[in-house]
Amino acid sequence: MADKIMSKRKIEKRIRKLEAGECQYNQIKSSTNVLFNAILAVLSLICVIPFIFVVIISFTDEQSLAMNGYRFIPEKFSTYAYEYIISAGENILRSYGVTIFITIVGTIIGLLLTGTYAYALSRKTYLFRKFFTTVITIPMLFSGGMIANYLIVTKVLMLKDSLWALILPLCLNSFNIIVLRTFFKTSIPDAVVESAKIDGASEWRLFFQIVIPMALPGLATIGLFLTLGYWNDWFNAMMYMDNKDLIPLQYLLIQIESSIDWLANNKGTMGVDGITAAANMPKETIKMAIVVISTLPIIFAYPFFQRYFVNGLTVGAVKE
Amino acid sequence: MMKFKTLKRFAAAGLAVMMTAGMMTGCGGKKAETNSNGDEIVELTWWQIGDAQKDQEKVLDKVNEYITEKIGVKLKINTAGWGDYDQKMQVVINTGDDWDMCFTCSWANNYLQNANKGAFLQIDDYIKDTDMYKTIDARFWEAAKVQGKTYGVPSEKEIGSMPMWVFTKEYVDKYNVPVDEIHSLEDLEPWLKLIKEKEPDVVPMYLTSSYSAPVYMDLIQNPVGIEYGDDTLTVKNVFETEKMRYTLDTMRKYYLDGYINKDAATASDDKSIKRFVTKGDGQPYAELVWGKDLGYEVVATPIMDTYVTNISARGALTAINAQTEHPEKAVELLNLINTDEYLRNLLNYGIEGEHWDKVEVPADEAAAAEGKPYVYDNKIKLNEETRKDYSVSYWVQGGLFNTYVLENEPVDKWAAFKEFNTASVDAPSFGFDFDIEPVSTEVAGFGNVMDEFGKSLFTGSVDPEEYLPKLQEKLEATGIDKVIAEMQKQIDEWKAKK
Repeated sequence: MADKIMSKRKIEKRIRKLEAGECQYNQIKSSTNVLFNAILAVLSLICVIPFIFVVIISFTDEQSLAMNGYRFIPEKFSTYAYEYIISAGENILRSYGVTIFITIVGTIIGLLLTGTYAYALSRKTYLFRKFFTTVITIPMLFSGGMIANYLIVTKVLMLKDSLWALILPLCLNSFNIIVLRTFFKTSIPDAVVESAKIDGASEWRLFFQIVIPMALPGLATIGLFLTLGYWNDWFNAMMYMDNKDLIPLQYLLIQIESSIDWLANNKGTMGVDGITAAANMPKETIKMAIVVISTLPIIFAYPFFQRYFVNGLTVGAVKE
Repeated sequence: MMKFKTLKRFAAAGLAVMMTAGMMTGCGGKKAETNSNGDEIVELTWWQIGDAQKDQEKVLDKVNEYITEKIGVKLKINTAGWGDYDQKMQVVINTGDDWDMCFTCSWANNYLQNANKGAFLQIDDYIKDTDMYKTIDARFWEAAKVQGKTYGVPSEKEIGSMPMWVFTKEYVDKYNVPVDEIHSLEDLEPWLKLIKEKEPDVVPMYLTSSYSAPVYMDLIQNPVGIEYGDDTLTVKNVFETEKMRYTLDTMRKYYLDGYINKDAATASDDKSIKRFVTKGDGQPYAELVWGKDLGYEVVATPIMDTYVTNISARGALTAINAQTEHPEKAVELLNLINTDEYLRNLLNYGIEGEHWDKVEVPADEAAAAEGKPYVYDNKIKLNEETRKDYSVSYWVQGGLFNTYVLENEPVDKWAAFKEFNTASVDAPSFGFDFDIEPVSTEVAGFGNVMDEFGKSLFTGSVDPEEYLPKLQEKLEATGIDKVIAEMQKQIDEWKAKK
């Protein structure tokens, strides 16, 4: 018994050695390797440093910020900004809730609509395929413009001041449909669909139990697009939301930012009134703290979706 | 197959429910409510600039309690932030949204354009007999006229903007600077020199990118306008006037002598930088506001007389939607806000006892202010805890003169404003509106040219000898001569009519 295990281990060792040797042929020169790594390290630092800086500023004492400006190692640390958000920033937390709600609900509805639409278009047996492809191509090329959109949402759909006004305008997008249609076309063989039908599956069962599990990587991609779109959206809130209790976090941030900018640029016209108005604005550290809390969840969303991307790479790797 | 059918039925039912629900919320029936006088209560929507306040609903409940009884009106306030207001109101106005009143002025949600476009209701007939028409300074009403018709109710505040030199008190006291004798840019020189020598840590003249050198003319369409005191009404390019050339040369000299911070053309105000003098656009008692903002005391002196122009006198107005169903009620409400002490202070500072408390006026101060107009028996102390939950811009809502003053302000603040307004001189071009339609392409190009050269020339960062001709060349290429000719034509017609 022991012998067998030993020899198995030996064999494994040998295989590993062989593999390592083989790998050498695929390797680049070690000096080039170092250089590339250095370049990539610099690039990723460029991406990460601003965000680290934001985190540091959010933990800096407001007073020392005013005295010394931005610093990597602040003179005095303070958690005041976060305490403020938790204690006094009721509207910030509520906006946080709104953002999370529209992101989750919007992504689910968006995936459902995009998935079904794209699936129908991907099926060769679908009668109105041409017509519905044309329908989605039009808004890709032309847009109705701001005023027309506003009229439709507020006057026809009556969605003013409703959370649906933040969800519905973003949930269906021609580009996403076409990406997903192509994905369905290439990754789901007709034979699978046919055989499921022969086994007696209804269209719904076919879609939910056969097609969706096979198309998870594609759906995850579109899901990520939608999640990011909803999370970062502020324009719809600006247009359709007059109720200050229902505005998402990003719009709250934009409002603060644009107000501060505007007041700074219009000192001449506003005079003393501008200074009084600016005094009521949140301070720098609080702004940065809002940025931090609005970014964190979306950072965590990436690894979640990434699992499916890795899967997606292997789909269709072997041709039969 | 069976399953598919049931699902389809569910889907159809669900869709039907959603659609009806949508319709219900959309056209919810308006029930006619009445107040105790039997008047029908109407709801008015008012758009205001500024950020939404946490306690706005609370205050509005109080306001509504009062005004439903008094005039049968319920008020709803919508706000859009400082930077968003322009864009938001364009959408609201152009799509025929439901609104009754809105904030408008010369620098946001442009009063003149909207009035010309017919977006605002012409209110001459409605306001004739109101109290506010009598109490608000006639010059504000004059400024509110577009081609002889009134389209908005002005907020009574300072009528002109007063460019001032703002000195840090510490150095003024230390070197006995005779602040009251300093007015023009040239008057500053000996003191800038002194500070430069004696206080190496201090920037003698601190300027930021929003700085513009003192301009002695009404810039009707920047950079074209009419010089103050020019009764012949000759339209000029500001960069061709003697005064501006002289000013730019002086600025350049100050810059080269090291009186001005080197980054002036691009800097944004950094409060941590110690400065001796800077420029501000002031009003009576502005020192208090600046001092509080900077964290140390300042003293200020006016650079020139204050002139009243269309731009300055249209600093804040409230207009009524041309499509509103309740024009009389809207005017009635505005009248009440501008004349009713209780309502005005409620809207302005919030609820008494919660956001603020009345405090006594010191006896000697009260005695000194005896007999002056707009002096009240009490001042206001804001509640430190709750003030951030309700702090609005006062002049957005209405006139300032029937609000109480804050604890740290002089009790005769509004009397001083009134005096200031009376002392302000009408610019010769006051009342003239330039119709830019015939030259709109040319005017659109000015912004870029001014962005390119304005800041660096005003702060003295570049040599006017070299850059002024370049600026002129660009302006000529954009068609400034055509604009001057057009404005001259219009202003001559205007003068003939007057």
